[in-house]
Amino acid sequence: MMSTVHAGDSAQMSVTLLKHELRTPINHIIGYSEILLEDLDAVRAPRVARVRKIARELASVIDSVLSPARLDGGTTVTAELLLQLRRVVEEAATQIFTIDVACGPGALSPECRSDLERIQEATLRLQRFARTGNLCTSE
Amino acid sequence: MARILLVDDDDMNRDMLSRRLMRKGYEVIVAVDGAEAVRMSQSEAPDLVLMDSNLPVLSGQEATRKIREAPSERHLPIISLTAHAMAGDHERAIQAGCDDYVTKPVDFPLLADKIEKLLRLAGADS
Repeated sequence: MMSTVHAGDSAQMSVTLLKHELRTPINHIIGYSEILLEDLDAVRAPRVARVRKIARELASVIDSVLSPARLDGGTTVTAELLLQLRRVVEEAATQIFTIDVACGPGALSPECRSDLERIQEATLRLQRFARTGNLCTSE
Repeated sequence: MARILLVDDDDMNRDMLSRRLMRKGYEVIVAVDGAEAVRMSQSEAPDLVLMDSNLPVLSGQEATRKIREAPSERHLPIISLTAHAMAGDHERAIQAGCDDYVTKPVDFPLLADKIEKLLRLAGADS
């Protein structure tokens, strides 16, 4: 069951919650990219490697922005910081969406197609956060 | 062929990790919460458990403690899958009784190495 946490209109967002909810779709993008790297041909594989690189860089930025040192040890996130995060996440999601992994020689296997869809699903989740400030949390 | 019990409430995480483990030749069974993990550790006789730290019903740490309460499971290798978000997760996992941990996103070659080492040790102890 999913519930929505409105991050954009609250100045009291837990750092731990925000980090966890952003890292989950990012980890999905990284994980499925790695599976695809085992399965894809030489034309498509570099594109998925690029997707993985963008996701890893985004994870690194989020960890840095939400680090205890940057937050002076605080546990809540300001509206200004949320806005900064949303911009960074939007940029990464947009970059991922511009990479056309599917285009290439021969048809993709159903498994590869499904894995690409999962990457898209995770990227959409990030984009939704970037545009609305909403996080979907699992219960 | 070693049997691995993978415990994670996230269906994508279960999918990703179980497929990679099966490609390495392991048999994979799954649980979706800490209570199910405890039940299956006894009923399914896994050779090793991969335990997510953030689980419903019982947390990964609580499930690990409960597994260790059974004399037959005291030496069952358990690797914690800790979220990068949670400071202190590694220490809590070891204190709860895990043998090792990896941080998500999982470095799969590293995880595979840790699995092999723990299975060898467990084989040597049995």
